[in-house]
Amino acid sequence: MPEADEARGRHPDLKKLFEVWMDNETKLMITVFFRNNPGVIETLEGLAVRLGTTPDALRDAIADHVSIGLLKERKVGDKTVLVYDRDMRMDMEAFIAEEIKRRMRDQQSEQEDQE
Amino acid sequence: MRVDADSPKGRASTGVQGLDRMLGGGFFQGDAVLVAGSPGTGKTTLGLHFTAAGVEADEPTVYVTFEYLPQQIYRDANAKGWDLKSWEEDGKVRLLCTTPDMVLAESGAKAGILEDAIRAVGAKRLVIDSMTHFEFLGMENHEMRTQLSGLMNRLRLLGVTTVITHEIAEIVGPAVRISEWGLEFLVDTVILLRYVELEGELVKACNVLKFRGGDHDRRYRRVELGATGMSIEADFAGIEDITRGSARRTVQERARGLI
Repeated sequence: MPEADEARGRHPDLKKLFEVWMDNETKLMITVFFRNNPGVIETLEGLAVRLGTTPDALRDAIADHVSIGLLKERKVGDKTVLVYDRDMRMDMEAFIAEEIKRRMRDQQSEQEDQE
Repeated sequence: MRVDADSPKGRASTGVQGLDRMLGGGFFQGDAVLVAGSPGTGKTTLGLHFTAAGVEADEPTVYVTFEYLPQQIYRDANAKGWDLKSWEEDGKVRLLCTTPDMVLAESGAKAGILEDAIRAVGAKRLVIDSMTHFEFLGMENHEMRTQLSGLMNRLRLLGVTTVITHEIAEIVGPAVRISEWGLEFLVDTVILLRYVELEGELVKACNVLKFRGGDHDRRYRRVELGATGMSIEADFAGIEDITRGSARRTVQERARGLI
């Protein structure tokens, strides 16, 4: 799919991101949260409250999201806040949609082969 | 629901036709407006009407929420027929969910999160829902007033028409304390939403308490909140003492009843 290829070209780490969060509950929770609430601008501590967990439980997963570019850190006053990258979201969704289609196609052809 | 997108020049439609009429065409563009009200009187709904009217008038809106998550705002707006999410994807609205200290922390900065959002969508309107959360910052009243005064001035310089909501604790009764920080003195317009007790029933009412630079309807009017949002209805003609918690028909009305 052209959009997915384009997205992959802009963000070569997208596949890595996809693979990582698919097998980690906390990363999945954070990704889904920001996908549904792209306007959230929070500190790590504030985010933990909104997610009903502790900063320590989120720290590593957040660091991974920041390193891959899905979340950005920004200094506001004397605090560091997390901001969702809306452009990255569009790219990621295009990529994920294509990845899901690809997996479904693979599954379907596997079933057909078995039959 | 299409509202009055063709407001008079220099006015920003509130999104509620009845309120536009009370104000002679809407808020003045670039003004700061306080919508103060008791719980459940429609402050957030009015903020959403104002946002929807901005979309109609091609005036993008930044909507700041402190308590509710964007997904809750999307859902509530959607229930009233406003597709906030698609407006956001089209760049007509930008929803921010943050904390009051983030908004105040950047007062001295060249471009903070608020300015960034305003510039990102070319916003002409701003909704801050609600100022009540600033109470949790624990500042002294004079310090808070100084901070908020700075914020209001900054928003005026940005040229956005700002609607801020604020909860008042009183449900009924003659005395209404709007804010400990004198918020009503920092803004250009004050819309009061409150309950009045009428024949054993709590009825929502709206009053334009202050409208700097313009004439306005000074009467209390009934407010209805329905499936498509807020509407401003008739005044309370023939009823006296509606804000004292002991409203009753006027002598003339009672006499007419006897006849």
